[in-house]
Amino acid sequence: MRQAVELSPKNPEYLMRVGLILSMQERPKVAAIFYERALKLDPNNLIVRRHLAGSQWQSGRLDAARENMEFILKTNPRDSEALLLLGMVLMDAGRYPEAHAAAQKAAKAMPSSDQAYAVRAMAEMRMLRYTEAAKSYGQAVDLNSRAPDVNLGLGMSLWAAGNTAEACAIFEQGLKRFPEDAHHYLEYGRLLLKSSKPDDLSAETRAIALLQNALTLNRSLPEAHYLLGDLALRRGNSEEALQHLEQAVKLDPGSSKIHFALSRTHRRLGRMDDAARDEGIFQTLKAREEATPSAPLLVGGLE
Amino acid sequence: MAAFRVAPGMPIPQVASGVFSDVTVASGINWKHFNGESPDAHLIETKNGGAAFFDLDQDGLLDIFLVNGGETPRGKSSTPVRNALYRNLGNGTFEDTAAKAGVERISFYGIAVAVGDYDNDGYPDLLIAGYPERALFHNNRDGTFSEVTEKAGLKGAGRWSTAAAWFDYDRDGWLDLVVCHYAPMSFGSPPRCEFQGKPAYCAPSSYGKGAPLALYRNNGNGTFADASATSGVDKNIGRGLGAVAVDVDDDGWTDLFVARDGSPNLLLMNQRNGMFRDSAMEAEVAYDPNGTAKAGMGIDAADVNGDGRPDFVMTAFNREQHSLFINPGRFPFEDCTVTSSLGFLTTSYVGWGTHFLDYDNDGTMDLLIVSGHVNKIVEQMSSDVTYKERPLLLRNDGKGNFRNVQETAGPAFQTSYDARGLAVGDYDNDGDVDAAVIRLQDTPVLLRNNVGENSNWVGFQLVGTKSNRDAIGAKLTIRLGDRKLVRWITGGASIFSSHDRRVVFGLGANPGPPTTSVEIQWPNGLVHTVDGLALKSYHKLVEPPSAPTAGP
Repeated sequence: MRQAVELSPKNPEYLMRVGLILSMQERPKVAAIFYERALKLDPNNLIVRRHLAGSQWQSGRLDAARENMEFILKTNPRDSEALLLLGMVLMDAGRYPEAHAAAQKAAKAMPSSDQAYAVRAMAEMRMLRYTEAAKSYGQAVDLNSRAPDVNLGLGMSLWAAGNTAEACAIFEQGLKRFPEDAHHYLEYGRLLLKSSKPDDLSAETRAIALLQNALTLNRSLPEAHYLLGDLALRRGNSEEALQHLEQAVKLDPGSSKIHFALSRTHRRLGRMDDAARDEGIFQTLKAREEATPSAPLLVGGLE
Repeated sequence: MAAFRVAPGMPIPQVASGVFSDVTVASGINWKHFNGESPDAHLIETKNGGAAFFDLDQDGLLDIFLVNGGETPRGKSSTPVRNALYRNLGNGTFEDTAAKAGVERISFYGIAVAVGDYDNDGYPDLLIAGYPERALFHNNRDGTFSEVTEKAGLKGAGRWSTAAAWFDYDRDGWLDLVVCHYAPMSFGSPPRCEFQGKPAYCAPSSYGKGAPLALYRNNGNGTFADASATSGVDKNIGRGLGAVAVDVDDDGWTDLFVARDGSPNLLLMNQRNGMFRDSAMEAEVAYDPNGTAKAGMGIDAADVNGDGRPDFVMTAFNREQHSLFINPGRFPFEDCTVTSSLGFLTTSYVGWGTHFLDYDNDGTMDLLIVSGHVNKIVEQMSSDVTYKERPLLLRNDGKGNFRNVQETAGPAFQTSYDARGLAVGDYDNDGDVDAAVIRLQDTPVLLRNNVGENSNWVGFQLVGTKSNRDAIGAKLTIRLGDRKLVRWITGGASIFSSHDRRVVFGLGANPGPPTTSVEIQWPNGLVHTVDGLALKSYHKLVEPPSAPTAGP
């Protein structure tokens, strides 16, 4: 294909095909170069522009991706796939109300697209509209019960909306349907840890088993290590906590809460220098997290 | 030293069944709170409403002061915004004497009240915190007050003061004052937030990192010196909302726990040299176990597990769970939020006022919490959170584990409120602790305790002579069989509110000896024991002038 391009450097079709091959090789940045060259030769080709926007989204060029999607939608406001992609781009850009509006339109245009409802649900979750998110995820699950992410979203949104029993039922179903999906084990384990009565030892035991299962399926889940470490710390098992938290911090060195837990663990083990070091990292990371824009005062942390 | 009985319990008819009865209407209290709620959604509209139990005229009956909020640029009141001062008539009813007393109106937005006898003349004075000023009202001993803010040096112009606590940090016998500030603010440029296209109150972080604490040292002549810098407390920038002053490490010097809203809490340890050191990180009370600074609001201290050390409760936002920090006599404290069941019981609540109280006088400190969400639209986002919320009464098993007894606590606990301030005190002198709850844009709720009087109890009013007259900072210990009951006279506590300075010990229902003894550690360090104290009575104990003495 490269040879074809070299022979016909002004053939947008060839350029786009190279881009597609690079996209399939998960090289979105290089793919975008070829799409851009193709688009220069054929600026009204909406197919190329859609591919370009997709590559830009994948490589984190969110503004450029959004502009290209908006260009497509100006030409064809009913382009439902463009609407959906725009919704995803806006989600990643943190522009949740706009993402919601795009996903809403996509869902209307493609009433059988579980993805459209899922994107709408994701936006609703980020906008703290948990009840609506659970409904949107429910619609997505109705349309595609084989997508683990959508089922996971339904469980998490039900929990966030305060319907813990329903969330548990969804997670239980999820474990049966998607026994290889580590995130179902992780999120259900988290729910049981956070929502159970303190004297409900069976829930805690189940949560530990779920988190361990999650790690068996996927060793690189920092959150599972963190939750197990936090629990060990709460039970006074500092050595066990340290093992999990050291794993967690290797996988996610930018997490303030992991450094905070490590600091507490080191202090209990009498390693005051290590405790001070992790406390310092925690404070630095925390200061960065706190530079957030204005948000309505609706809910505390779900941690 | 002197020990004698003060005003006995007055005969008040039972109003209803349950632990507490709502006696607001019967008491004649009909004042209404106003917060200036407006389309601009100034956060201050949600963070106010203070109440105080105090004996303004020293007649042995607790009176009630209620701080109003105020107007905002687009939140105007049809009638003048006024505070209330309800004088206890001794028959279960109250008379509003605010106008006559000269405390009806203030020139700023009112938030909190702190009661303390700052000039040691035996009559309690009032400090009102708010925005953009504060007011200090000196008690003239004739039922009236004079505003002395400017002269005292406590005006705090331009600052958003949210909480204040009187305590004697330098043990010179005069009450000093700590004031929490929230953040810089202006009615002209509020941060704007929306939820589903409607104006909503913004998260605290929208107001920046917060503002420093202030500490004022009492000069002993009616004036105060700003000791914020010399004490080191002004280094602590954050959004303070609640403070309690208590001796955390039992060294005889009063320390401070400051609950902050989305900022790490402070545990300011008194260094005994006029300075404070923040040990909150070391004590692991600054953040929750995930390293998140909760929306710390109400705060109180008491011994919940019977080990003789002060533990802490702190209210927080829904989904955060209110915190219980157990003090093991060293750092770190144990965060028992989850293991005590407090976390599970409070997940859905936005808690404001909170106070430990032994409602049934069984000798263990139970917990009263009042709640209410900030944004009315919250009900659209979740099914487990409501705007108005029921008060919580949590019974302590004596080991620091709590059980919700809301269902049997009386009709008031089946009713949802948008509550803020909570003050506690035995207004009817029957030996059990009653409560007053402020509701936004509504009348307060006066809750009469119906059950504590059925158990044995003994109460104390301490009068400092060398120590500050209110005896804030005193530690009282009673031995009950193999149990040691320890109580403190704290400064501050709860949120926006001030409480009965008397201490009631519940001694349980079992018949025991007809008298009891109490050991008192006075704020200035003097320790002495008083024996032969009759039960079911309040005793006024005056600090002896010199060496420890014992005996009635």
